[in-house]
Amino acid sequence: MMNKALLFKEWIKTRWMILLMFAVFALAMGYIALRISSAARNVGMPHLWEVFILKNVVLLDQIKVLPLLAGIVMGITQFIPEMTKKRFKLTLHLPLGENRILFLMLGFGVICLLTLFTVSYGGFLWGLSSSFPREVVAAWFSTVLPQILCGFATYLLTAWIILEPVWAQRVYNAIIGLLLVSLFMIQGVPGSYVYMLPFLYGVLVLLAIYPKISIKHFKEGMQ
Amino acid sequence: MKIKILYIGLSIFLLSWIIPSLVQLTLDSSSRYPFTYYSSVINQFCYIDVENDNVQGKDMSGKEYTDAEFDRVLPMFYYRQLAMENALPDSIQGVPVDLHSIARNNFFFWYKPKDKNTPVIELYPMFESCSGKVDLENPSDMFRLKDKIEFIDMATNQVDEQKSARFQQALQRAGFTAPAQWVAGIPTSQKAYDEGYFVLDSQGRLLHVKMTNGKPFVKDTKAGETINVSCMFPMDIENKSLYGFLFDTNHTLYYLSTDGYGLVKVLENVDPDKDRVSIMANMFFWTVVKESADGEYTYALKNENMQQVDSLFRPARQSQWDKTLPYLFPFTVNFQDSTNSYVYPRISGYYFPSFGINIILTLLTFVLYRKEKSYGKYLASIITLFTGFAGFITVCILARLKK
Repeated sequence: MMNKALLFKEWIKTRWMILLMFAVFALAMGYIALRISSAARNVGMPHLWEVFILKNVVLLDQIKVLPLLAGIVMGITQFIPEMTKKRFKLTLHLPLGENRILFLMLGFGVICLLTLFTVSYGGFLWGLSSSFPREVVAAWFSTVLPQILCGFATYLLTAWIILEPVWAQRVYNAIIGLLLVSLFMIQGVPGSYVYMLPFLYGVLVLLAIYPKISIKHFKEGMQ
Repeated sequence: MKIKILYIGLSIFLLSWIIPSLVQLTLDSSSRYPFTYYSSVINQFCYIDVENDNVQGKDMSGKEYTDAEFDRVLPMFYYRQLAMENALPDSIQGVPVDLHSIARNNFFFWYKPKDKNTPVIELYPMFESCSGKVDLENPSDMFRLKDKIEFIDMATNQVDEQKSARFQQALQRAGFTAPAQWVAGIPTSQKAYDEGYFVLDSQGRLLHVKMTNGKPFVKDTKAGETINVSCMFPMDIENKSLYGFLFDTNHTLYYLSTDGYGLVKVLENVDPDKDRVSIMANMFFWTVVKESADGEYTYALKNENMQQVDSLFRPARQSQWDKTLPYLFPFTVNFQDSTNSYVYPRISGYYFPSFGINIILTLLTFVLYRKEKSYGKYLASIITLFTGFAGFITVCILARLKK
């Protein structure tokens, strides 16, 4: 019952922003799809195949900062309201373990982002597969996967930084965060991130537990 | 505390990447080896010396040449300049030459490890290699070849079953055993002529696959019977004397001759995952250069039998960065390097000379932690001692250890 109530509170906080993000992602995907179909009419499918396959062009690269921004936006909408007027103190006083509260809140955000990314990128790649062979779809997927994981990373980083009560520590966390985010964004040919993926997943696990440090600081009343 | 240790670990890891790479940007200077070419006129290596800021052609005896003289010592390289000046010799090494015969037999091959170790999208256009036209035409389909060959029409994204079956049958007749390990070719119509693709099957057989008059042509080159082929780099060269260069798993470089798929050994001890190779060939000699970590090896090989006639070694010069690195950092982390296109963490070996700086940093850590009474002081010092700057910044600024 309590879990449900908490999740409902998160939903009330974020629903408009989530809707807006869905709209932005849909528009962006639509734009890329339009560019492909316009190019197909103007230069022909064979030329597009050549550009995608032999020249390693991945058009989704043009919107590579979108998941990153979505993560930040999601983190801000969820956690800034908690920090103003010390509302988070009330949240932590709920008859639930603090770990459970944190897990529920972060879990909510991650699920929302996962849905957003799966629907938008999944839909786009599914559409792509009707005109291009599976090798191209796989190459595009392997190119956007680190960018999508980056969205989760920026979300967890944002939560971590906002929840941290000590200002200096916030700055340090932001430095670490900046370095980490750049690791998700190294420019490379499609498929160059295959061996990096386990490392990126590991980073996400770490980022999911770091907010516990901030909550500890928070409870100790550090400023 | 446990989580804090994880935070410290990640922080040290990231700083061991960013700090050294920033320092490297300020200190790094790549040393280039001088351009070297084997002269067919004086039968020795000649090179361009850029030592004292003035570019000077020299030979191995130290003799200096003016620009015009240098062109005449290396007529096989500067033949176009000589032809323009009407100064091309009538014969070299007793063989009559002219602009066309030189141009026809000259070719270059540049190899770097990234050419081999890079992910590719495994779809290839199959050209008509006997079109009877000057320019190659782009086909309307591309093929994949792993378990079987499949041609996919680009306009419809549908598999052309009939064409695929014809090629599949031809492959099987030639002894192809699935799956293919790789397909190598020149997938562009911007080439002089087409020789299709070379395919390494699961049994190590190297097959030659091309399309002539719309029909499949598949032949076992038999190269796989004498060597374990590792990778191949097809070429299109004007005299059509070879199909391309290949490495075997024992680090030997060969070329595959167009004369009955003969395998000719070019150079031993070349590691395709680490060394760069360049070949500048003319009708008399090949200047073959292998660039390894320890230096640059240059060989002159006779064109007709690949017999080595001369060799030269230039040791690698250490840059300022290479010299100072071991004293500054106990280890470094990198995510990219020049030998492949993959992104992943690479941790260097441990540099013990860095302990000089590490001990100073450790004392500093002690000073900064002097008011701390817990064991955190000792833990912080140990971390700094073994991880240098990255650890020092982490435990003293980013994540102070407290009780």
